[in-house]
Amino acid sequence: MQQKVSGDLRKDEQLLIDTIGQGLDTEYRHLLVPALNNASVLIVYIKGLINTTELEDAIIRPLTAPSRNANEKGAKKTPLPEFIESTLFIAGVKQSQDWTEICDAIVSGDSVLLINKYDAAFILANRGWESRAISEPTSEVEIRGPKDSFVENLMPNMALIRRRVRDYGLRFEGMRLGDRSKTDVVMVYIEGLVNDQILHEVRTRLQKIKTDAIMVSNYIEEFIEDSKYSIFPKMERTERPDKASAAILEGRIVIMVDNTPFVVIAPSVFWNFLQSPTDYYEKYILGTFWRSIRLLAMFLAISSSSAYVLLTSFHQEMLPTSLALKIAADRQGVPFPAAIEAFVMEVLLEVMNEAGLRLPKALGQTVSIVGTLVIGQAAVQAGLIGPALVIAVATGAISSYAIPSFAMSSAIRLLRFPVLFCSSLFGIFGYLGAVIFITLYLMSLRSFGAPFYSPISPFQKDDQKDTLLRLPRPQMKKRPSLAKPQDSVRQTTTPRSQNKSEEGGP
Amino acid sequence: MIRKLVASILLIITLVIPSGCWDMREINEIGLVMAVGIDKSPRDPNLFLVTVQVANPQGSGSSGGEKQKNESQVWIANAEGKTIFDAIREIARFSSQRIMWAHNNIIVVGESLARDDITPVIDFFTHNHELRMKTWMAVTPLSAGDVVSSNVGMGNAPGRSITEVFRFQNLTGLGLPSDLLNVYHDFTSENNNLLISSLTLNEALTQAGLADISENIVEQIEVSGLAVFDKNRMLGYLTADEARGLSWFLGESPNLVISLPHPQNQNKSVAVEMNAVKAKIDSRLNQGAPEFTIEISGSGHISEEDTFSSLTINEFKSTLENLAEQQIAAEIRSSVSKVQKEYRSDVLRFGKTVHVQHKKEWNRDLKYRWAEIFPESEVEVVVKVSIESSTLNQVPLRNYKELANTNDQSQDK
Amino acid sequence: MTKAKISRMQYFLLIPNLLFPKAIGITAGVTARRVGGDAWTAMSIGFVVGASILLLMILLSSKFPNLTLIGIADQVLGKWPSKLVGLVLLIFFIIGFAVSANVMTLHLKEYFLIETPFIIICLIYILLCMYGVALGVENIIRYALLGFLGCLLINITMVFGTINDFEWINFLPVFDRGLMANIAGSIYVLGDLALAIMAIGMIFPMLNDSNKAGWLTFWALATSAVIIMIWPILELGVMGAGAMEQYVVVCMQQIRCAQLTRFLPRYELIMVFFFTFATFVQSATLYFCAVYSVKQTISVKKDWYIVVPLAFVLLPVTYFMARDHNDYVNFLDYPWSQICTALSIGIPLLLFIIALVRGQLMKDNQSAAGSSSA
Repeated sequence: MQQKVSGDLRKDEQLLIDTIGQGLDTEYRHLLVPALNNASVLIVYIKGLINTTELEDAIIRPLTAPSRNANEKGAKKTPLPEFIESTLFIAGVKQSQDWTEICDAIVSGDSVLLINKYDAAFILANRGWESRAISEPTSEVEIRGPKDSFVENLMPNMALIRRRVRDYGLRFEGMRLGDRSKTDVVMVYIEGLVNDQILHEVRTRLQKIKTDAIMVSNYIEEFIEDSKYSIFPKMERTERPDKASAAILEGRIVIMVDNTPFVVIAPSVFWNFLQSPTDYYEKYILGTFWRSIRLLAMFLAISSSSAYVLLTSFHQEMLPTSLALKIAADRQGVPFPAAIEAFVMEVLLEVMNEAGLRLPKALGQTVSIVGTLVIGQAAVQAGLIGPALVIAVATGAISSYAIPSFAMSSAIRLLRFPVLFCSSLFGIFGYLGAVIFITLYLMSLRSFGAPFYSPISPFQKDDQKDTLLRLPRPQMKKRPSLAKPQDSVRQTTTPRSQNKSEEGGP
Repeated sequence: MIRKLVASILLIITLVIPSGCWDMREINEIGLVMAVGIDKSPRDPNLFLVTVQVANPQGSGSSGGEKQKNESQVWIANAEGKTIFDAIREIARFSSQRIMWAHNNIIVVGESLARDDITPVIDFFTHNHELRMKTWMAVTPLSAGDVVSSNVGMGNAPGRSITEVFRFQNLTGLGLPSDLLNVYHDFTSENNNLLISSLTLNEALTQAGLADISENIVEQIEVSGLAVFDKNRMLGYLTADEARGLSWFLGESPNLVISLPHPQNQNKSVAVEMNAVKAKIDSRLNQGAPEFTIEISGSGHISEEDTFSSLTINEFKSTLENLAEQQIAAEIRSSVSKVQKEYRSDVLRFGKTVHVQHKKEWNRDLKYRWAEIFPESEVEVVVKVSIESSTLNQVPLRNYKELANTNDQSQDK
Repeated sequence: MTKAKISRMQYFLLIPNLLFPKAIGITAGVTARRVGGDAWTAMSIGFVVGASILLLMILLSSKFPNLTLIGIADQVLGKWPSKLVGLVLLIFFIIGFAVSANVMTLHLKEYFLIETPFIIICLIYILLCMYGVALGVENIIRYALLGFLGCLLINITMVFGTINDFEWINFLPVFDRGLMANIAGSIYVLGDLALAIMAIGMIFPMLNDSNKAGWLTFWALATSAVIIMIWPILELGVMGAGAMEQYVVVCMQQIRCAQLTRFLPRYELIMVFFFTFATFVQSATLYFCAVYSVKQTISVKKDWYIVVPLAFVLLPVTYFMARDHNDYVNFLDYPWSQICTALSIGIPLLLFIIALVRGQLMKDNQSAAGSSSA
């Protein structure tokens, strides 16, 4: 659409109707403006997307007010743009001739004012739609730390970050992606801290996206991530503004997508998915302890059911004698081999998990009762499965919930099926083969240039302070090298100078 | 592209590999051997008779709670074969379970077999990857099958209670910790001969006061000394007391108790518990003939005094030290001379000592004539005991009534 | 792949990985059969000799920056002799891979997967290594950290498990069969070190900072020697020379003697769990070196065209080498160790001397400041 505003109101209106239609929610409001010699004007807007009160009080009322200087013929020389800007009580007024921009403005929730015999339109920023209030995070609950979370609306989200990072260099670089959805996507970073190469890489990858619609942030992730077929998430997602802000302060890039309460953090490594904001909100020893627990949990989540199969079907010598006898006694009369038993149980568990996720609250109890009673108790008593297996599978399930990131935890839950399969084929060899395969794969991945398994391997000495360990805050003098920040010094020796906000300004 | 290819090749491979699970064996389908006994077959001396004690998981406690009373904890099976392996295959043929050795606790060898040749037993069990090298090994004068099938002990599986007997061996000194590792080590070494603990069954009364006296009697396994070997043949036994004499310098940290005559009353005893016993064997060559010194040093503490004394604690201790030194030396001397004179087999690591200390002479000629030299070598025993504590008591046990009497009598004289 | 860079830390960790698996598993037994109770002294001597050759190799490599062994041969000897060196190295690495892979497969075949067909074990292991090579040498070397940690953990747990049965008397007398026998026995350690020496000859140019590489290598080798020598020493102390001579895989026999407390009497699974990582790094590195020497000899652009056909070569070599494990150990005994020794001393020394004669060493003398320790 290369056309421009013609200035002929009738023609322009027809063009608009042809472009955005005359649907129920689209309003074409005609007015006569006394101040402009009763010139005919047209206001176009989408009903649900604008602030109606503002439209009435700040646009229509001043426009239709009787002209103060109607009688003073001489003083009527004010040019039209100045007149509009000074008459309307509205924060943003922008003049445009470009139809595309005008239509985009309308569908985004702005009102557009067209004046007869004037070959430009005024875009009036009076967006305002029903939106969820900022509430507590639901999927990333932390005991301590702030309780606010991102919402579906971009503006409050940006405000949440700006309130935390008042650095002059903080930038919200917007772009509009999706030919049809025209979704706003914002890259957030601190200029002067962020690595320009990575920033450029993220920007180009985003700009390369050619698709019709971006519904949620995962669409973006799938377009820009490094190995598209990988099962592991390679960018952190969070609904916590504190976590996002901390990432920005490390020199990483946060990508916000309109209509998604989750933001994406761009270079992320494997170990980030085992970290949680609470590590920083409690004593450092606890932080370190929790991280080691999570590492253990990840190991258990992958291998608990495989370990059961390994020990009961392949390497019984590893069990202490009394335990071996107990398991053997409990398995008397169990019809299937341990491998099949474990496989069935794991699948059942996933089914229960999936069912539990989406059930209305009222039904949840039923599922948990049916799950525990039928699968836990009755199946064991009926001799269909061994009780030790139930313990192994449950350990794996609980462990997988201990991983803070839902995406990583799901990936690991999925991965235990191949591991279990290999273990059932070749015992310890199969298990080790699968584990080596997975770790090798993890090591080969990259996230925007950062090796996914760093800083453990390749080993970065300085980054160990905040990977599996969590040292006291004053010790963490440098930012993680993950995002290769331009300024790697977080604080000098004394902890007093933590507040370094003057570094970035252009 | 590379990754895709690798992925697709892997996929094909996993499809091509028949879902074999070659080595998969369910835990409830295998029979865990708790103890094994090996004899010569009574029918044909060329056959082995293998008796295995297999744990019955149902009997040894399912999680259900109520244990069936009449279900035995173990299951005994035996079979004969030309080789041990053969016999074991035979067992697998008529048992419902596959035999697994990994949890075996003890290997008992019948005397008749041991006197003939113990090589097949040592070889089979070190050759089998399932067995641990820390499995105990013992020789019995009875039939090994009887020992293995006896229902002993208070533990859950009999085989495991035998292990406990061995575990506390350093407190009794009646045998040596002859696990497969030590046995194999001595068996393959160029200097040492084998010493294996021996087991016997004894009848004992249970505490339970059952009506029928025959039900009160149970069999009980005891460590009864050591079996002495020359190369692969058993020569004979050392009794429990003689075994004690060797334990002082061959055992691992022997915390033995010695009973000494009371310094003031020959009919009463004092018990001294020895600990931190260190032993050292030294050799020197006297005109080409090796002579040995066994040095024992240790500390002891007085644990029991059966009568009172008027001695001061220092007198008491020093007297006991002397007595202890003499007694230990006597114990050692008698055992060593029995080994030297009667069995003439170097189970005492003397050969190793000479090899280490006089390498040249050993390699030149001693090692070739060792069998003749060993029985003739001089052995000197030096014991140093220091009694460091009298366990809680500050003075030796006193009874002032008696003490007054003895004092009177001594004054009368 | 040519642009791959490895850091000093990774290089340092790679060397123990290249040595550990075979040295503890097979070599100790082979050496014990030759020199009895002096296996540990013979192996120590082997390390000292091997270290000096390795340092010679580093000296040579640092005189020719950014060149692999084949590249150096090209510079020093000319085009066609270098092709010959490339071919020799290719065969060496193929057999070296099979030797290394069979360390793993024999552990499995003898102690864990008795009934699984041997060819399947070989196949899966080779596929795993192939995957590693396909992902690039950087990833294999990144794995060295895990491998090294695995080695340390095996050592710690093994020492705890067997120290109770340790007897000093088993060591004595030292040099029982004479010093010469010890030196002759050290050849088997050279067989292991040769794998590392040649592999480093190929990988050294990737080191991103070769400053004082000689010292770095020396310390890496010293570390490896410490973690490896624990094994023959404890094997001897616990089992005695007689038992060491008896078995194919001595370290597993040692493990059978280990007892991590009364409650966890078995140790095999733990051992193999930690052991596999290091073995994988060793095998995959040798696989990579084989690929790389083909690549250097005939210029093929795509690694893929080498990696896959090579797998088809490696599989039968690996399979037939150890289908009968006695043959395998005999092969290590003779002629493999001798060939390894000849090659690992011969090639670097030959190149070094010719380069010296031609005066090529003088050109880059400054860049080799750190290698004076050689």
